[in-house]
Amino acid sequence: MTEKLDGKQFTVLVIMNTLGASIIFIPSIATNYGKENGWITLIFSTILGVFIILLYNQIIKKLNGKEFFSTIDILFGKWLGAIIIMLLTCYIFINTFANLWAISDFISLQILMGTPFEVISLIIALTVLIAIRYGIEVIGRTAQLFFPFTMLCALLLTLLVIKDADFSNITPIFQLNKSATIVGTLPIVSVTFLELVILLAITDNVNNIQSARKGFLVGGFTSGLILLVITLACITVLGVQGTANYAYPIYALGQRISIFDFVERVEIIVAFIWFFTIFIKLCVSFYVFTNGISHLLKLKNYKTLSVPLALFIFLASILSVPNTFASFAFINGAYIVLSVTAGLILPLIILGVLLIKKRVF
Amino acid sequence: MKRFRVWLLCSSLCLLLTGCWSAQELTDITLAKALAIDKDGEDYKVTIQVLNPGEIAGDQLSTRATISTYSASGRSIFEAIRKLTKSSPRKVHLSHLQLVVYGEETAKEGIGKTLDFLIRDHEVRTDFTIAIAKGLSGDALISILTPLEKIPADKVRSSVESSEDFWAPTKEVKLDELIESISSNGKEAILTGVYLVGSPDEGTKMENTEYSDSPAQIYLDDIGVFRGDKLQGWLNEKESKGFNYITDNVTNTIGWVDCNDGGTISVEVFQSNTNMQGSVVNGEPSIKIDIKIKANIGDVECSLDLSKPKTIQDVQKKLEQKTINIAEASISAAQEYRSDIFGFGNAIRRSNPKKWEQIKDNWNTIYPDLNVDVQAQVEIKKSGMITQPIYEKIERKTEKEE
Repeated sequence: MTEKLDGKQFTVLVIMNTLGASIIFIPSIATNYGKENGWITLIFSTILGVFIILLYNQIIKKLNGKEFFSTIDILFGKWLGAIIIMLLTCYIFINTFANLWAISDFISLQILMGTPFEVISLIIALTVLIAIRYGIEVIGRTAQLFFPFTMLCALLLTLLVIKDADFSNITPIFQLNKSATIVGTLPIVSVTFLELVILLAITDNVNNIQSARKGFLVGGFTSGLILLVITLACITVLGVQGTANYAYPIYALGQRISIFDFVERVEIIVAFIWFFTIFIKLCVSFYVFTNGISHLLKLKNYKTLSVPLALFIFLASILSVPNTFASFAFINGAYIVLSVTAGLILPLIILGVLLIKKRVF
Repeated sequence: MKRFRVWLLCSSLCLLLTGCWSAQELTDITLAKALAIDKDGEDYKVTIQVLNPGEIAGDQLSTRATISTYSASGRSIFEAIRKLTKSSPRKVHLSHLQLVVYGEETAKEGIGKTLDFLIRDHEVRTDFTIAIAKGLSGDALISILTPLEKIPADKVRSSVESSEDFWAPTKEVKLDELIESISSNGKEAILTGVYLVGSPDEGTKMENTEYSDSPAQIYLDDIGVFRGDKLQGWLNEKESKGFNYITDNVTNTIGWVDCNDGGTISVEVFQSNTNMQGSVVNGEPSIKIDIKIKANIGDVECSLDLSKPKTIQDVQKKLEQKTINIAEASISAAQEYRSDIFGFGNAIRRSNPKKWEQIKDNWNTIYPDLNVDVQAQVEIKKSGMITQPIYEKIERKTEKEE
């Protein structure tokens, strides 16, 4: 591998991967579970997330710069290794097309109402295809370039609605719905921190192991904080019921921006946050997906299969999700099981074997 | 290969057309500014007020009306709105909606079913003002033409906004707030009432805008009290003001008290902060309201010696008592309607969540007898451009002449 990411780029990738997709759903999920304590759910999720990242960091340390997929092969042998990689790539595949569906659904619902869903999905899939053919280094640099804009938009969104915030909306603090508040961390962690398992496969591209581990932790914590602030803003400004009602509460938050009745209708800045983060996330997951498949098929270059796989992802995104309601049921049900399996149980097994086979390594 | 490139280049030009997908020219749509919802038997009758753009921003204005209204009925709001195309010449665009009006009868029957469409539809933005046409159907109200503001919907909306800011007995309610209070426990909804003075028929003619004192005028007044999604009744002006004091929604208003000699002294309230605290004492929920007001002397129509600190203290005392009276009148009116518009339930929930879980199902029976303690503090700050009242000297002069 000649392609290299530096620690900063990796941190940005971690943040983009955590925020992508999740930033727009999470206030609604958290509030549905925890009601006025939705933001506390985010605090729990971030703490849990930091522990998950610490687990991943142990794996990065043991990998010591070796490629993730080939290490699995060495650790588990030809057949078991292939099965584990297959499970992981399946998870990444679901993740990628689900995110492609999510961004296309959002655009066709909120911004380009008349445009068919398929067209939006295809254009995004093609863009992602072009991006990954340039390689992970270019994706990393792009992420770094877009990062300030994304953060600026997130900052503007929170600052501009802060005058409408009513902090009585979050009282009584952690008195009622205690168990639901804690249960809510499950779906949230599964769409944010557990998905970071995908990034394990690109850690061998980071030029310095130490900075990769640091970046993982810093990135994860920062994005947890951003999600917390956004959720808090949604609950205080839109109210508990309001946040839970909307499919995309943060977009509704953007619609609330009004400065002197003059700066209005700027909710598109919310869409910017989402476009940038989810695009980078799609690129990374798709890159890892093609790498995983190429590894399984023993291809020398991941680009060989990138075109048919992109079409595959595109088709999956338009065929697999019957409607919006099904997607919410999926996030709150089956997806938790998938994420826990791929993001927690598999890494635990891998780490266990890494520790046992220390000498062989 | 070269031909392939040319072909690719040509087809890539199609990408430039993406902006034209589902393009709607301005000449093909009409902009709805106001929407009225009335019940028509089982059906909903929807009336829209649309702009007549040529009369608002054209070079040569004729005497044609600046707005037109169209109505259609349907089993659901969505169906009715789509049916509008039968009468309206162009497709109706709802994204510039400023005002939604419910007829009083409709509001009494319940408005809950109409809200889903308004928040679900992507075309409707949620920043419009919602009001009830008092003693009138919604469609009659939005057919009235108004002078000064060419678009009646804008007139109602800016009246609601400015009267909330400077006069206080009204409140602008937006969709999010309405849905939050209609669907959650511990607080009931309110909506501002809009009513018509004069004949509704006169108001729909363009002549209505040609008088300096229009024969049909739209007024704002009173706050409509809901229980669930049904309108229960109205708070009068004084009670509405009390409502705004209690919910800490007063930015600026005036108030007056009697002097001892039959005249009045008026003050301009420029700051008002209210603190509402729920508590449970011996198992009984109760509410404590603390209103802190800062005011300037605005108008003295009696003889008072304002240079004495004692006089100012007396005026402050009277104003405090009056504020308490206003607030208590408002509370007892709302208790009579058995509607917790102030959010007392929420206040108790915040202070004692466990107790609230026990009593929330019986809240409707507890609320009318709820013990509410109102306190007020008035601070008089400035005297205006002059210090001593003018009337005192006038009075002295007239006494001498007699």
